[in-house]
Parts: sequence; structure tokens; C-alpha cells
Amino acid sequence: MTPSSDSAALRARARGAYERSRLGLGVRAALPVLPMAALSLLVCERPALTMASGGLLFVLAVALRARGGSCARALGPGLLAGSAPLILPLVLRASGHCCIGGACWSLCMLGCTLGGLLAGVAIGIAAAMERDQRGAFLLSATLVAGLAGVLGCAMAGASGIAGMAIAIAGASIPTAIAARARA
Amino acid sequence: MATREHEHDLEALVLRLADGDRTAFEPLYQVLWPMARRLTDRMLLGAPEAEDAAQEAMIKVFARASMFEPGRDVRAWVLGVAAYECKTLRQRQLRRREHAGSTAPQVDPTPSPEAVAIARDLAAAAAAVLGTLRAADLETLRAVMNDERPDLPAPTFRKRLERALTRLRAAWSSRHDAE
Repeated sequence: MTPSSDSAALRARARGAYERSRLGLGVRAALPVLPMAALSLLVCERPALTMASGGLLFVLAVALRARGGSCARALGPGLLAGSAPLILPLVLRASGHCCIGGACWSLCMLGCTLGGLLAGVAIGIAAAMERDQRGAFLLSATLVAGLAGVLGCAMAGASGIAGMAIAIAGASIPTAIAARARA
Repeated sequence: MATREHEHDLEALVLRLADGDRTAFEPLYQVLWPMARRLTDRMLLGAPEAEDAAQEAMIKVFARASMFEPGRDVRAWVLGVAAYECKTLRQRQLRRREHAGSTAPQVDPTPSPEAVAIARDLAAAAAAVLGTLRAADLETLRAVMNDERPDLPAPTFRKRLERALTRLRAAWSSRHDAE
């Protein structure tokens, strides 16, 4: 092996080791998605939707953390913000205020929309505090929170998910702009 | 001042890589590789395994770069990993020899090129210093080296030897200690 190809091989091995360690960090950072998906699986009784959104959220979390930068920093706030639309509909359902398919259906929708609004505001504030690449932060956190919200709003059906998604997107961008303007 | 600046730049590069900035990989590699190579070369006395140890150290450094915390001394961290690799390599070699049935480490009977060069330099330096001594001192030293007893009373010979050695030490010091 010539010295230059030797050096190139070592560079490739070092780079591979670095990328593998980033992937490991990503998997560790994505672990909170598992109890979130398990909760959704137990309560929402929509296994296909839960598995799909949970799997997608897990992969997205790994990718964002492995990529690094503002995308990685968006993961924590995204998951935290996403727990609002995840838990709120479940709490409303558990307290008996939301009965699926009945008259209380709108309360479940309200939980999703309210949770989405809370998540959007939280993401907007966090994005305004980010020093650079705010757009990437906002997009990453919104995607994470949205997918986490789908886990909770799965029981509310397509309209609940749509309400939550619109609420997150509609609240996060104006909040980020307003918070940035105030800072 | 320049060293502190250099340390600061080095830390900034590692922190960029820890944050996921892949553009910091190449400049960091170019700084760290010679550093690791020099240390392993020194620790393993230029043995061919020194490059293997440096390579392993580089792979470990980059595998742990994402966990690097601000404020740590990059140089100390990298050299620590490289030194650990040298130690591991030596232990592995020792275990292999023990496993092969020989408890004592086997010494290569053919001297390495470095050892030959060092011996040659030492011989030249000794010859140069001996050349400055008086004939009587040289005769006394030669007799001791060849384990000969000249036809002299023992206390006289001991005195001569003492004087010759003192002059030899002084000549060596004046020639080499000042360098």
C-alpha cells in the first residue's frame, strides 16, 4: 500500500468511526420515542398509525442527532413540545371527557389542537433563542413535535391530526418571529 | 502566546466536530495525525508498530470526538489516547510472547539500524575524547580495560587510575556537556 493510499484508508476509517459514534448518539437520543410510542399503542388502539409515526419519529430523531448542529439541538425541544399534543388528548380521554365516535368527539379534537398550539409556541420561543440556522431548527423541531403529536392524536383520526399539525405550524412561525423581534 | 492561540484553534476545531460540523474533520486530522505519530514513535522507539498504535489512537480520538467537552486540553487528550494505545500494544506483544511459551521477552539478535547508529556515534565521541588524554593516562585505562596489572605497586596504580578517570570525565564534560 502506498503512503497516500494508506493515509486515505486511515482517514476513511477515522471518518467511519466518527460517523458510527454519531449514529450511536442518535440512537441513544431517540430512545424517549419508545415509551411515547408504547403509550400511544396502549391507549389509542391504532397500531398501524402508531407504528408508522413512531418508526418515522425514531428514524428522524436518530438522523437529526447524528447530523448535529441546530438540527440536533432541535430534537430535545421538539420532543418536549410534542409531548403536549401527545398527552393532552390521552388525558382528556382518560378523564372521560372524550368519547370516540360520540358527542364528546370535539373535546378530543380540542385536546389535539390545544396541544399543537402549546407545542408551536414552545418551539417558536426555542427557535428564537437559537443563535444560527433558526430555519433548520424550526423545521426540525416542528417535524419532531408533529410526529410526537400524531402518536397522541391517532385516536382522534385524520381531522385531529390535521388540527394538531396546523396548530403547531401556525403557532411556531409567528411566535419565533415575535420572540426574535422582542429580543 | 502563539501556543495558547494554537490550543484555542485546536479546541475550536474539536468542538465544531463535536457539534456535527464535518468540515472540521480534515483540518483536525492534519493537526492530530503528526502529533499522535510523533508520540508513538518516541514511546515505541521507532518500532514499526508505532504507526499501528498511532492509527488506532486516531480512530479512537475521532470516535470520541462527539463527546468532547469544552475546556478540556485537546493535546493532553489526544496524547493520552496515543500513550494508552502504545501501552496496550506493548502488553499485547508481551502476552503473545508469553503465550508462545517464552516467559522472558525475546531480544532480536540483530541490532536495529538506530542502535547501530547510536553505537557508532558513541564510539566516535569516546575516541575523540580519549585522543585528548595524555599517553600515561591512556596506558592506565587500556590496562584496566584489558584486565592487565602493570608492574607497579597497587596504591600507585590506583592513584594513576583515579587521575586518568578524573581527566577523562573532565574532557568528556568540556566536550559534550556544554552542547
